Amino acid sequence: MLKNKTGHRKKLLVIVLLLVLLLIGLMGRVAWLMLARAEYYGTKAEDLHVRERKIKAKRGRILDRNGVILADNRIVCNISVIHNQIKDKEKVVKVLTEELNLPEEFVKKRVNKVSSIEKIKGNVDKEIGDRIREYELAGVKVDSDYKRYYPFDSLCSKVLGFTGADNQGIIGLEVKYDELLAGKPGLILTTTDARGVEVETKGESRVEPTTGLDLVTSLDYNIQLYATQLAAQVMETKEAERVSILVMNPQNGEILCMVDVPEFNLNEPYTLPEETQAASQEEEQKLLNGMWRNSCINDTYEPGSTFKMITAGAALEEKLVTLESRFSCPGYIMVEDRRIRCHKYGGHGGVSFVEGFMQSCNPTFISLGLKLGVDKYYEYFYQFGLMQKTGIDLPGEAGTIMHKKENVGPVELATVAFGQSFQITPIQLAATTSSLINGGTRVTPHLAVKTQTEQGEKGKAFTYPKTEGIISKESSETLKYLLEQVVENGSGKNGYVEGYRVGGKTATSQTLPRGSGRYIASFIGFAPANDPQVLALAIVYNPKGMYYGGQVAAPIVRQLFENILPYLERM
Amino acid sequence: MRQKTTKRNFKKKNEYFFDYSLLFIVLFFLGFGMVMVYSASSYDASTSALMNYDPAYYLKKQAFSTILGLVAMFVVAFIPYHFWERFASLSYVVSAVLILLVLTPLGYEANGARRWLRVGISVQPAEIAKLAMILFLASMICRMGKAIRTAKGFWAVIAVPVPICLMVWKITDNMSSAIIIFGIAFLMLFVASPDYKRFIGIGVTGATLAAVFVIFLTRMDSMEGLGFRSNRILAWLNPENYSSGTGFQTLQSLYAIGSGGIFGKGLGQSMQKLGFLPEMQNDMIFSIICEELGLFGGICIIMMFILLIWRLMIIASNASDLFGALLVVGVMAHIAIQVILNIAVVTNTIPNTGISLPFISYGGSSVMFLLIEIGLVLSVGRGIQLKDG
Repeated sequence: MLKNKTGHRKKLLVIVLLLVLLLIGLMGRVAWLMLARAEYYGTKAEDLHVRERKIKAKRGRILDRNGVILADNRIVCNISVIHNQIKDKEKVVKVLTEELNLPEEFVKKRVNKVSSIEKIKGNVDKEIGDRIREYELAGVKVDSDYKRYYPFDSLCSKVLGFTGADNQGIIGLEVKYDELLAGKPGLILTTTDARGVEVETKGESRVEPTTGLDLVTSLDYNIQLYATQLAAQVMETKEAERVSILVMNPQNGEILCMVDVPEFNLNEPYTLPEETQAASQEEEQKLLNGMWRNSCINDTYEPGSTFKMITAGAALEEKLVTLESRFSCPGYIMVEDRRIRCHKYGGHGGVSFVEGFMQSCNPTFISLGLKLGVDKYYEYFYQFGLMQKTGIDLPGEAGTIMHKKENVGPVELATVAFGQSFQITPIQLAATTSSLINGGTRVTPHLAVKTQTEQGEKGKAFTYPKTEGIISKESSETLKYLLEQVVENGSGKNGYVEGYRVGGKTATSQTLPRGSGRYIASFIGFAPANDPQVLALAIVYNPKGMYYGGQVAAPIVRQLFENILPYLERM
Repeated sequence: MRQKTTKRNFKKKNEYFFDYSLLFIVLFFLGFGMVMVYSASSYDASTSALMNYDPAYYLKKQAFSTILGLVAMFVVAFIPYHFWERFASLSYVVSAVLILLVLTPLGYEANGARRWLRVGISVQPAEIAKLAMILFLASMICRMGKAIRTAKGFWAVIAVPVPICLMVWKITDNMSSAIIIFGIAFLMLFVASPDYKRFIGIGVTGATLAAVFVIFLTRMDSMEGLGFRSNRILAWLNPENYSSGTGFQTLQSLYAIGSGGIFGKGLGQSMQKLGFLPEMQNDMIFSIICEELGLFGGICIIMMFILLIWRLMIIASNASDLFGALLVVGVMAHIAIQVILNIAVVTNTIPNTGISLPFISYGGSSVMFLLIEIGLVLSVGRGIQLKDG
């Protein structure tokens, strides 16, 4: 053997030890990756391998106060194809084209598309879905799904609202309580390879969806239905643009019905009325938005004479007037250099406050307003809650449009005093009137009462803010007396209901611009007059022919009360 | 210990020695490798039209190469290794010519690189060059005798692999093979030369240059104009920022390793092999081993490689002459460097470069030439005289 062999052996050992050391280092590296980093990389790998398919949750229903289902769910099917699993392409195209009534080209294109899953059609009737299932075509998936369904089509459309393609609320209660109604979607977890093909041996796991909560509202199906028919009838006979009817409980703010005809079909919310034709997509959207608009809360109007009770309330609180106070009405009143006319040509002459109120005499209320002065008037305007939104549980409530205080002179104050030159929403008028006649408690008008599960287990009850003492008990009593007099002997005679004590106030407001011949006739009434349990507001927009509130709107409330008062007594 | 017992056993019957331990280790690796190649590739092969949807496509090809390789190994093992010494210079020239042949129509391209020669079966000239380099250097160092101790001798040996390395790198665009060839030469020289300082000097200089280059890259504001190797270095430092490009394979490899756990998902249960991890039956097979057999399996394989290296060291130490010893050192260097670089790449310890895991990764040329090298080692082992003295 060679002499320098020992030197080589030593160096060989050195190099081998070095290599072994490197390998041991790599063992450490592998161990670190597989122990310390295992969770991090393991989760990332899992995310990569598992595809999620969402299972829609059943949406909670919307019920009326007696349990009538106003918004329900219907089982529909989603049809999709999985390219890799299709065996008989021609048959798949043929069956889907025929059963789903789709153009052949459309189906062919999707069947031939190389993708993990391709949707052919959604919201297919369960019957058709079942039929397609029976063909047992490989690669065709029929998934059951829930779709919102409104059993009464257009009833309460603007209040309930509707849902979009993903079952999300779009307008109305559906969007306001979306979170409660929506529930939680479930998941189907499928393990797939890199191309998205399911790995059959790994199976799939499911996370079941949670059904949304049912929403019990204060609405009453019967009242809503009757009021809708009434409104539709008036709209037709008076050739009006719109008719709104609002019924609420003035004691707690619960809304029993909210009608705003024309309503729309909730099951086809994107179909415009037949006579309307949209020129462009933009215009179509505009028309749809108009169709969905709830004028009870989304739009403001000049309340007119119904607002006189607010002026009266403020004056009574300030003790500026008693029932016996005298006013004189020569048919007009001079405010600074302006001559403001009373609606009665020639005037009411000398009247007491009660008579002035009953006849809805403008000069009477203008005098009261001027007596109060701008500061006091605004103080009460705020105190009665007119400057803030009512807080109703519907989206898009409009605010009050009122003069800036520093811009208000005697002329502006005079017009405000009898309900002109500013705008509020109908719901605001109803809520404010409620608080003036219920003894002075400002209530929040609302629809949602409580939630419950599909099986009827109790959920949460909704509570709404109340502000007490916005007007004294005595003033409230006086107002109720005055409003009853209006119906018994005054301008609201047409609101009288045999056998019931009804209070109310009429209004006829001219819409802007003045002189256009467009009017809004309204009447707000409540019963029983001494202890109000139900309050109704009827507004007719732009009626043809007779347009006085006492002639057009008061009879609506009378007819309504004639039917619902006995009904409510029975409840 | 083992050697002593073998010695006793063989003493009476046979003067010479056949290293069954080495043979056993190699056969284990080959068998295990084929199981893993099948496990890693069967899903992909069964879903691909290119492989005729045959799940055993890769396995069959690998088995064929392995059998050829084993035959070659036994033939070489029974030829006295000195027979090859006369071809040393020739083999150096031939390997250079073969590399150049890649440029002719004989060469062909696969996986985006022109590295193969098709002569009946496809061969990578770089694999031949590794074997040729071991043979040539062993013979050259022997002939140099004491001249190896001088600076001139040292630099002469260092210079020998350089042209081949440059050709492998530039012509076949295969930097990893170039590094391996140079590494083999470096380790052989280290063992042959009594010097330490020069090696430490070269080692420190190399490490410093690499560090400076990496720091320079990370400080650069713009990545424009960087070659793909520079990009690989940036992806190495931060694979998740390059997850859709250069860092993709590395990240997928880490996912595979990280999701293995201590005992793995079980043989055949890898998820990453379902098309997520590119080259899963090839350069990345160690990741699949870790995913399916866990930390336990990964460590076992590394330990088996340590055992193999140790065995080669024993043979080299006991070789009857310097030529034989250097041949074994060269083979050991080849295997060790590839194992270390491969595992370092899949664990993202160094930047990504394509190096296969000896005996286990799929690849016909690689396994055949490795088995010829083992044949050489067995031949050297047979030359060990068991009688003392």
